[in-house]
Amino acid sequence: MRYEVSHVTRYETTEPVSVCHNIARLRPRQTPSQMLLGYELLIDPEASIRSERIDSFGNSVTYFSASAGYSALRVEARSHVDVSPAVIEGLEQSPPWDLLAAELSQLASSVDPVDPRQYLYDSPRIYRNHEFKEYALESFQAGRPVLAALRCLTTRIHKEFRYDPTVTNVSTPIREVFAKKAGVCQDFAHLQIAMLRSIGLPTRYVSGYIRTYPAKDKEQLIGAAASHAWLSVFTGDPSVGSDGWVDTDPTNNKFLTDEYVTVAWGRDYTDVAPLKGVFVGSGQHSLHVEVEVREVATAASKADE
Amino acid sequence: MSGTFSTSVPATGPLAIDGFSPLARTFNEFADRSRWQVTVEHIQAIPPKERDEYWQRADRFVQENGVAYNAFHDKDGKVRPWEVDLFPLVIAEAEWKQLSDALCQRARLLQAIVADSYGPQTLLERNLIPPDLVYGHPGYDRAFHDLPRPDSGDLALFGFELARSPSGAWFVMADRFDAVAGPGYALENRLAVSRTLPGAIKAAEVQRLAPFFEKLQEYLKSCAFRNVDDPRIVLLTGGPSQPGYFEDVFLAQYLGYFLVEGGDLAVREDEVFMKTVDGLLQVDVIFNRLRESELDPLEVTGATGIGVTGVVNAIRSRNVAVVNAPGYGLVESPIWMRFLPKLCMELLGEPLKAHSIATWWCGRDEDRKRVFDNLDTLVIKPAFEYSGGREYIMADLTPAERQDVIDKVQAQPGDYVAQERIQRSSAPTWGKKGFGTGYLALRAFLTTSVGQSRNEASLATHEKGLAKPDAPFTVMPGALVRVADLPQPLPLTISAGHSSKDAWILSSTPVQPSSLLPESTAVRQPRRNQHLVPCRVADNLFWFGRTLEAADFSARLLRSVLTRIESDRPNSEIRELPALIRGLSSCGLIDPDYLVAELAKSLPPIDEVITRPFEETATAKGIRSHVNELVRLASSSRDRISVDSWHAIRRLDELLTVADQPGFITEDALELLDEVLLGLAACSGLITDGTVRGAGWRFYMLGRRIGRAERMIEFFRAAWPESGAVPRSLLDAVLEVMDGRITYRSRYLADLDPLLVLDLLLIDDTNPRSLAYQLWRLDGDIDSLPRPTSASGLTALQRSAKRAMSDLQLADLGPLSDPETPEQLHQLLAGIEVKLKDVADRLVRRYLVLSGSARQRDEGPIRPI
Repeated sequence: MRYEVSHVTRYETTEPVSVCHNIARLRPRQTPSQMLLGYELLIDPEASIRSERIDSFGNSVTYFSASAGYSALRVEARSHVDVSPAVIEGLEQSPPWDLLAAELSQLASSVDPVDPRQYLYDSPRIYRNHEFKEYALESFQAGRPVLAALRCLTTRIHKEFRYDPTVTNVSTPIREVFAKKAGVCQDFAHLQIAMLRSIGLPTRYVSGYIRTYPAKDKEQLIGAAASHAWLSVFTGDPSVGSDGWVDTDPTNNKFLTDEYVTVAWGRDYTDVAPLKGVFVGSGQHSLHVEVEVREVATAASKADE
Repeated sequence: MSGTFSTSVPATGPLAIDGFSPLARTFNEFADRSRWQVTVEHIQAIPPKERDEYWQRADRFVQENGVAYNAFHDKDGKVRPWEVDLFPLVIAEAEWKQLSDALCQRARLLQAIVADSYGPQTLLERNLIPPDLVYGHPGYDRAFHDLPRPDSGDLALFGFELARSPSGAWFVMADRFDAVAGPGYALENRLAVSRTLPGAIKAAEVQRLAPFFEKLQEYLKSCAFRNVDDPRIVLLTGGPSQPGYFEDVFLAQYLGYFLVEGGDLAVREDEVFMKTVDGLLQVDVIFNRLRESELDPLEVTGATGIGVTGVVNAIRSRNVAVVNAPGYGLVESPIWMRFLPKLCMELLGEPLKAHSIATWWCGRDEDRKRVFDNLDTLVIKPAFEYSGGREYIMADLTPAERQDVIDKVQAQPGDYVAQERIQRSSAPTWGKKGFGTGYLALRAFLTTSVGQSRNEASLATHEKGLAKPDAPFTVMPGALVRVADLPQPLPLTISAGHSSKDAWILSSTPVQPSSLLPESTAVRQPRRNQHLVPCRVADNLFWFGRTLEAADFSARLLRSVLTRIESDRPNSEIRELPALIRGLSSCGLIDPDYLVAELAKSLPPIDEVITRPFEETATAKGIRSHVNELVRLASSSRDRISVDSWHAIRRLDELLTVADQPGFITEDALELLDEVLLGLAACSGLITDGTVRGAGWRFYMLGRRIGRAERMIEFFRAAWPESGAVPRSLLDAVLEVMDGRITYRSRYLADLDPLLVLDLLLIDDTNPRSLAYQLWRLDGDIDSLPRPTSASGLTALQRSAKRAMSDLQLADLGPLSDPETPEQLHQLLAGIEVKLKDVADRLVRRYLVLSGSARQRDEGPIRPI
């Protein structure tokens, strides 16, 4: 499936801002199931300096600053991607989850010590605890195949937690989400990560988009029209997912499909915030975000017409 | 455990010091006769009855010299928690050399570990350490990954906290890299002791500390990425709210660097600039004394905003060097100590010489078992916090507390380490109560040494193919020695302990007799950049001048009122009193309602409220709040204010504490006001005599001119009658408040004439207390401020100042003093007041605020939903 993504962020200020420094993580990643065909980042007014680098998670980061003074800032990321994830099958045939967790807890294990293991620990917005562990263990019974257990946990969160943007905000702690049993995709992703790390499975936070359907066509997926977040679990089985990482979305109760565009991943939202800024100046700020993920015809589908 | 790190102690007959009786089973530093002999002879030559005097002299020196005092933390004037111990710890050269070598090796090891953890991560890849040490470390910040490091190394100043066990072996109790505290205190101890015992320090051939700081300067200079002859180096401090601030001030002054706070620096186009009244000046090297977790609000998770926004990217772009490089906070936590011996073999190919205190990590089964089997001999601490915070000495806990700790460890074993307790070594002390016995904690300091052969140091590392060749280090020949009354564990922060002493490292070759601060030629280089003033400093000095004048004027006015109230006449008979009370009210010294006759009737009589400006809860502009503000401003500009001026300001602060005592009455207030006025005069006199006439001085004087002029105008407008003749007694009072009585009498002898009074106080620009004089000097100072070279003609600021001055110059005294047209004077003064305010506003906008403070954008609305 091929998409054109437009992600627009607009800031408006009541007083002119003399200088602002920004970090953007808006460029979709290349993965075994996602090809980036085109990307541009439009900044208006033009940034006085701009540089690109790859962060320690492999995400592409754009740093830019504007020091000419402005009272409105518009940042648009335009991406053109082709996604073709394999369908996750054979849930009951996947390896038992607890063998993997045990292996990872050894100092000299066969698992690549650098990549998956960095997602085993607490991170700025996520911590492990007994409560989360207990909740996860209801799905992760001893010896249960990891994918089946994962599916089960995702479904439970989807069912037991209410989607409600008014209950939480960007800094609501996960224990509050857990207590209120409500939140948005970011909250559910953080919480499920906390549960999986609490039972010793490396889990990362994924930021990206989910496709937008034409309004009257079909029911919209939750999280369209904004950036979306889900999570990815290391299963230890390189034949599934992407090098053994399997993405799951508790908000929509799905494994990764061709409806998803992956932008960046890290330990939690702190590592991959799409746009983050510090400015100098006074006054009130307002900001608006618009995301559109539009399906475009591929060469193959054109030939069919 | 001892090995090469222990030292042999020659057996000799003991020296005797009364009161020194160390506990058995501690290592006695004093047992080695040869190293102590000269020092002890000198000390014992002092007649016992003079000993206290010597100690008091040293103590006074330390109290008065700044590192100790922090106006923001403690009104009693002490943040330095310990007293001076005048008895130096003497250490033989050979022993110190051995210890230094061991510490340098440890430094190389920790440097290699940090470089690897924030770089290729081969230690993790090779499974040499559990991933917890890095990935599970809350201080591990991704922003510090792969930052370019200066070729000469990335460590400017770091320390090791040491203790000597009964076996005579030194152990490292903690590694300190992130904004390490203590070198300033060590210097200060040396200064105090060398002034008190100059003969002893000469005779004993004690190694000087200055060369170490020269090394540090040399190193900092070498860090610049930009190829310039004279790189600009600044010392970044967390500011007056941070505990280390006064030490930062001391070090900046001593080393000759600009002291900057985060807000003084601006990142533009990935380059770092200092905001000065002359504009933006590029910075090459930041000697960072701010904790790395605060370095950059944009990139560092959890930074609160006292840092420098964008500085991490400026490092990435190789436009600025920050040392110590961010990232070293990682290895400050005690969990690393568990793995150092193995890592030293792996990384450096040699056994670790500077042993850590024995450490076990509860995250490993075999360690945890050992810990639980030996709990009573251990100290339990959080594995990832830096050593010196929470810790549990198991043997000292109640059964309930003990169980609580055990429960915590069992719930999250990986979060805890256990360390052996150590019995510290003993040495004689010399404190308030004379000689005694103390147990020692020693903090040694290191810097990177440039210009030496690095081959030897880095060979082993190189062979292993790990890290870049690392620099050799220089150890300060001296230390901060904290002294406790008991040999038991002493908390590892520098604030713990009973007293603190100097460490004397002996030299086998003659030491040039020179004391440290002013005499040291190498440290004191001529500074060409003295005229450069950071905006924040100029702002502080401006407000300092303004506040000083406000305080002076208020005190004079208050004194005039008090004198009258205290006289035998009833208040109702003092004709000028209502006008003076209006003056008090306009200056904010009493409730502004006294200005309005109708409202004043319902207010308490003046006698009851007149002492309020002294109280801690005074109105916004009372004497007390002026003095508090002076102390605050002076503290924030300590690097610009002489020690004497600082003492004068502190004394003023102490003076006012009298007013807080019960039974403080108006009579006392009168006496106090005299002293306050003298104190203020001392401050301004000392500043006038002791300040270089640079831009900083100019802003201070601008503040004074504006402060004085605005107060005079306020007072005149409130006190001068709006109709009718001016009573003679009021003319006299006005002259008194404006300090013009003597001049008037000597000039005119005759009766008081409103025209002559106004001439002297407003128009006469030879009278330094006149309004004309303030405006004339203001205009001159503004003309000499730096301004854009492109500007032609006058700036708006200059025009405002000149307009204010010409208003007064063009004024006609006749109508102004005519009782028929009192509105003339009021109009003139109102016009000047508006222009003066415009001058002040423009001044602040143009020179003092180059940009506001940094704020994080609220990203709430763009969260993924």
